[in-house]
Amino acid sequence: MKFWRRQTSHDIVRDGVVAVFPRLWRYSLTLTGRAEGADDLAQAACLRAIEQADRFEVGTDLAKWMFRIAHNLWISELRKTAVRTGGGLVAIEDADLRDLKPGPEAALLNREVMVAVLRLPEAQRATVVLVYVEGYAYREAAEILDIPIGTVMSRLASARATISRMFEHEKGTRHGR
Amino acid sequence: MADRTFTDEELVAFLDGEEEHAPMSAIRAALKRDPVVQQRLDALRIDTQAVADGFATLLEQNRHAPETPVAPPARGFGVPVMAMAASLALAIGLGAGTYLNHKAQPGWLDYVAAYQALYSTETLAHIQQDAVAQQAELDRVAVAIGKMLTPAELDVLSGAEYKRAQVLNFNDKPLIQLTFLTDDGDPLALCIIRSDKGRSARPELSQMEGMSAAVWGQSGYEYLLIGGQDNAQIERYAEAFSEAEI
Repeated sequence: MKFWRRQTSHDIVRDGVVAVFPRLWRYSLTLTGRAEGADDLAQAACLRAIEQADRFEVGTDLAKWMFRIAHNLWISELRKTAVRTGGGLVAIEDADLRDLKPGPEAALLNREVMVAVLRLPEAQRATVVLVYVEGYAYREAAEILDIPIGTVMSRLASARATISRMFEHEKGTRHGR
Repeated sequence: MADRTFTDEELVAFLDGEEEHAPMSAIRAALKRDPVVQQRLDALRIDTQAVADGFATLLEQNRHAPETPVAPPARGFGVPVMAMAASLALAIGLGAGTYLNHKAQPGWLDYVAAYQALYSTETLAHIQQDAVAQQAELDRVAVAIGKMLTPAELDVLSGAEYKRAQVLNFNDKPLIQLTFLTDDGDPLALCIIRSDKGRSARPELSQMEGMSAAVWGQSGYEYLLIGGQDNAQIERYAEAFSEAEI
């Protein structure tokens, strides 16, 4: 049973994929900008993760590793197809978001903010989601995106400036950070 | 007073509490004396909690979670863990399927089976392309393995609709995946790869990843049809494709 020897990382990946999937799908939606594209990307990333499970370092963050896989897949393969078929780099349209089940009504502002983030340029929205939604430190986001930390910071600055302008009227009532 | 001391990046790092990347105390000090710094900070301020809360709703979409092949009853998941069993069936299917049921070195068939296991009805249900778009897509993927196909050749299964084509890769070797959705909502895939293994043209039936599968070969190509749990259906469809020499 020669496979038992390296079973640990395989085990962790296999067992972890399902738990990570909702977050992976969300990140995939952020990258692809389309719900359909998110399905393809998230599923392809799961498969790639399982294939390459022996490269996963036991004890490290599985979600982060899978985000990186999704990101690389998106850059290297799927984005090309998406661009060719007219998807991908275009801003998210309302139609794509209408499919998504709405949350409670009290969350209307949250939803507006989410939509605003999803309409940012791809590089910015991916960075915003990794840092403000997934809670990764700049350094970790830089690793996932394979960019310098300075680039993470400038993307966040641009994104923040845009979103801040859009929601200026809300500032009296909500606390920004 | 114009403030040239801090970049926007530093101010953002300050807001985010990334101490390594912002002169925290200098900004704090400047805030006390310079209203411009405060204004610039305000212009970069967003409700990050609202961002996080808004995106949290996406976690509940639960759409297109990986298809979970129905585990054979013999595996005996207990009722109390049914909810978990559904999601774990995927992992078990992929893991046990690859390592126990098949040869030690997973080949392209295992790869495609594992990929297919991730498909659900929803993966394909929304895809509606007209014949022109389907042909354009087929032309694009056909190049990968040098096989020309038309939608008319593919849309011949009674009880299953041809959906789309895409190129996948196995060990740097292209293979094409043609997907179908049955009337019962089972996603099926016909995968074709160039091969000189000389596999028989007669479809050989098996179970892979908890799904029905058929494998055959024809003039330099290997074929795998996989999906659902209806062996008879897969056999019927495999024979149709094999006879038509797709």
